[in-house]
Amino acid sequence: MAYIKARDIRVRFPVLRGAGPNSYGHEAPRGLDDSRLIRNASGAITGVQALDGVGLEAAKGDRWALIGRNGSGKSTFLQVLAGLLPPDEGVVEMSSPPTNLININLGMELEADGRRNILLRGLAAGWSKREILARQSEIEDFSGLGPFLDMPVGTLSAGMRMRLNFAIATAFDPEILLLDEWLSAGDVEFQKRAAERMDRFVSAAGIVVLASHGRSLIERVCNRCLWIDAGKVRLMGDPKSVLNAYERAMVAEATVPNERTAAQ
Amino acid sequence: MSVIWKEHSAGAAPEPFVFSARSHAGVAGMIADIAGGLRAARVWRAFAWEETKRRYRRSALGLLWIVIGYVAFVGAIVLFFNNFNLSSSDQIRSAEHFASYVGLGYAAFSLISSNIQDGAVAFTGSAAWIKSVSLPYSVYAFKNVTRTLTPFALQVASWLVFALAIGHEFKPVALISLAGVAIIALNGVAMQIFFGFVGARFRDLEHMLSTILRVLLFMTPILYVYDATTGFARTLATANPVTHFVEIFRAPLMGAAPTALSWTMVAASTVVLWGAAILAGALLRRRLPYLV
Repeated sequence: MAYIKARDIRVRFPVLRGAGPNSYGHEAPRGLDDSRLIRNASGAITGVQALDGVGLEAAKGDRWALIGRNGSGKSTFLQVLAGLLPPDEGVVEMSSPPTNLININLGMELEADGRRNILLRGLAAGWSKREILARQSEIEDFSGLGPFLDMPVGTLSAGMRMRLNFAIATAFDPEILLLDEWLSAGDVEFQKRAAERMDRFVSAAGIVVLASHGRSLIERVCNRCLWIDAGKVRLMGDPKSVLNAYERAMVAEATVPNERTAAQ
Repeated sequence: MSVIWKEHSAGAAPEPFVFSARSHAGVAGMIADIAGGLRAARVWRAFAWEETKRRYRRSALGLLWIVIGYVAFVGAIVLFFNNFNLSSSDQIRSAEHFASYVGLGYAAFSLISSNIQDGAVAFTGSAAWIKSVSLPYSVYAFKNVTRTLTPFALQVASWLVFALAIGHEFKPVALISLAGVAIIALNGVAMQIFFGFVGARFRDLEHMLSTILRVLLFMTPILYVYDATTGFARTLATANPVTHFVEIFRAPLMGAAPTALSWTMVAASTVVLWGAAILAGALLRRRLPYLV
């Protein structure tokens, strides 16, 4: 039975400045909210609070959307769920290791061809060579790359790499799938096929966590929505109401920086 | 448990996955990481071979360059350090002996030094994978050690051809060198882990190690014969642990068991290196994704 329990996740990004003293000193980097900075006793910046008590619970068939502004912590939260970033506090529990599609450019040998990357990704995910070969043709078909599978992956376009990545990740019927925004890098035809595959996946009672800015994608795929703002949970609920609140707030906040500038 | 990589077994229910700061920190976390890395052998074997291919991809001679480079280096050393003197049969025999000494010593030294040099970037060089696939970090150490064994095997094979051609005498003690290679590889893993973690945090390490390696090349008896050295040079060579790692591989193939001193130095170094590797992992493992 698939489940995710992520409770009270806190992540601090350390700010490292070589071996010498912190060259950011006491000045907050431009554009960063000072309340998220972590300072030592003398006031020098030592870290950034990327996540401050974020969590979610998912049962089988749940499809969570993560929304929030750029830099709010959506991808960081996905990376914690994926087992890539150990949280400073909090625990992630899942029914099985998740499959992640977080960064399109990572997790590929760019000089190796597509077929070889299918094998490497499959092995890294814990499958045997035999099981990977059994799914090889399905992955190749779904990617739609045809002769480009024999080319080094580094020579493929972002969209083509994304197709291959998505095809590999979903071929093994993962129970828990974590996706970042870049799904929308595909063309219309691929987005349609990807959405069909997501439907198949969801009907098999898997769990999806999807970070996205795309309202139509979220409304189509997700039944739950988590709005992360400045590393904290701002609102949780059904996608429609959370998206409405989010969009209202964004419109309202868009005017604030101008007022600030005017006041200075 | 913190070991993330799981082999899928058909039919069996997948094991739950728990991930927290605690599961990643401390000595227990590091030991679990190494155990998990060992189980993922098929992953690092495939990645090691991929990297070997990447280095020689689109080169016409490919892996043959390893053999060419090795033969050229050893040949040049033998010619220059033997004063081009090959007129009598005694001198030829002595040159053949010296060639084996240099050939085997250089192969072993290269294996050790590439594990030190690659160790400094063991994790930073795999940053793309560390940030996208949750594998035990020791996988990248095992992968690098496996990769360094390919050139070593080709060099030793080149020497074997030479040894058979000159009718080199193999004694039963030669089998000890197999254990010697295994011990060097075991320490290679420890060095990759230790230097990998420290090098991710302190980026000066990579440059420091290449400086040290240049000195080690002369402190290790591979370009000269240990028994022929005297005084301070001999003291330095004796104090250098690399000398003894080279010796446990080279001496058996040259017909003599390694000395008790060599075994002691190797045993002590193994304990120190593994202790350092586990300690570095215990302290830095949780922060590694931020450091690479």
